[in-house]
Amino acid sequence: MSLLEFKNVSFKYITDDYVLLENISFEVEKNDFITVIGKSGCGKSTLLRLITCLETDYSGEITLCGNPVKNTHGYAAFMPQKDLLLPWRTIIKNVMLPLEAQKVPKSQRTELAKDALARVGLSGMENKYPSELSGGMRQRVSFARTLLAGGELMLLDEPFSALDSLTRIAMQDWLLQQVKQLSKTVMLVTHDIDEAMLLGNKIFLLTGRPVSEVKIIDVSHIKTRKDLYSDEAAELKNKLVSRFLTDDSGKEQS
Amino acid sequence: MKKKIFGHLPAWITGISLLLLWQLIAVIIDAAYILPLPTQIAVRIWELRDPLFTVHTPATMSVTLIGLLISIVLGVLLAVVMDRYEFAERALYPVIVTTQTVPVTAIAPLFVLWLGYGIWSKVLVSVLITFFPITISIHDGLKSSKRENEELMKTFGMSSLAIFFKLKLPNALPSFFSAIKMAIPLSIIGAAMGEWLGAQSGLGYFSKRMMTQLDGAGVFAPVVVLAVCAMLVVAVISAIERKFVKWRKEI
Ligand SMILES: Nc1ncnc2c1ncn2[C@@H]1O[C@H](COP(=O)(O)OP(=O)(O)O)[C@@H](O)[C@H]1O
Ligand SMILES: [Mg+2]
Repeated sequence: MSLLEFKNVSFKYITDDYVLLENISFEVEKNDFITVIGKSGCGKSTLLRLITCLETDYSGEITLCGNPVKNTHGYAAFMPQKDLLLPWRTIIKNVMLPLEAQKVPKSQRTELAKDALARVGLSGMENKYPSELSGGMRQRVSFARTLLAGGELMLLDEPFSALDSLTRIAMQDWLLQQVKQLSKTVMLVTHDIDEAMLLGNKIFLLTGRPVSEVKIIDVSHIKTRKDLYSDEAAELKNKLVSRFLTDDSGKEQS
Repeated sequence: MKKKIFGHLPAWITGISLLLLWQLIAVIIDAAYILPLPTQIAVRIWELRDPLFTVHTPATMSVTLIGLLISIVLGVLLAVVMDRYEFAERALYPVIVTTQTVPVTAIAPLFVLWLGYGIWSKVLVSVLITFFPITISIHDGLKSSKRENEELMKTFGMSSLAIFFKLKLPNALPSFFSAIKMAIPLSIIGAAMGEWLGAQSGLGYFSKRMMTQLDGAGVFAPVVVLAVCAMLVVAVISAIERKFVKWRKEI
């Protein structure tokens, strides 16, 4: 059975007068690394909001291991675009936040948080405040916090888009390693086609306006940054770019 | 330490220059019952130290602190209720903002009429002056936490009560402290004004009594004591704030 399944899901924000997602269906298998791409504003973040039950006013069905997920929190670990670290908490206290939600006993929290920080290479930073860290470090703290949020499904919403390009490349390589070691299922939203091809084993391309189809593209053969420069990868990239340009041409937004 | 003193140097120079200017003008006018010399006021404070510091300062400060305490408790309660229940916010917030425009000073004599010459008419003035700004700033502080942070905590499975204590409350702490610091002088003004209108003790009452005796320096003496008290209380609150709020709000 697939880990996560969307069955004919349609959604619109109450405050908007247009439908955002129309009758979409897809499945995510255990240990998949899905990268989600689509035009800006097409509803990628909204997709993650549906999975995390921040929006529940949809039709159709979203199931996790066959069980509907409506109004259950805490089964998917969500990492937002901004790090959202609390400035009044030290790094380790920030990382502990999900453990406090899960009511993990105090005695275990410190150890678990320390392990998570060591995993992201930030041992020794425990008692610093977020304002003392660089953007890349803060993003890794945010990732450590996501690791402790539990659940085997990780949802990452453009985690690196706020970073400069060198830091971003370093973080992409770092994330690839992390996910290999962790054996987690990941859905990562991005607007960077290279990132989508490099990190994912499948690309979910949201198409149509409103989004009515999720095109699935297998990119499991692209494993390293070098593979991105193969002829095959270049061709795929061209195809994806032209899809972006032709999709709903004529109704182009600014 | 050296740096700190030199950092405040310009302010000291301005303050001392103003005092000198005052002294100069007062010497020229030469009418102590209208404009006493700063040195005369200092001497008068010393001469009147016994009634000033044993009777009238404690009276005014207790009114101030009782008023402030009531305002803080009510303000926090109301701000929390408005934050948690939207209908409470829609029902109360506009009313609170509007009442801020009522000139409490103008209707204060009524309170003396209603509550008499005792402490409570002054406490009421002080509460009415400080309650609204405290409520509004704490409410704004609670509201100012980012919705994204709240949603993230929800995805962790946190209850809304836990979110309140772990996100909203700490986030509102800086506003809470600035509200209190702003309210202290207001509260003292309210108390003194109430005493001026009718009382048996307090610095406002004392100042008025000196006025009837055309003792200019005696009128000013309690005013100076009031100002110093306000600064001392604000300094104490600032020290507490530095202990609790080690971070600055990010812009
Ligand atoms: N909370 C919300 N309420 C109403 N409309 C929203 C909300 N969040 C996003 N939208 C709208 O829904 C559309 C899709 O948003 P989003 O999912 O964030 O797009 P993406 O992440 O693909 O850029 C946008 O047009 C946006 O204005
Ligand atoms: Mg988005």
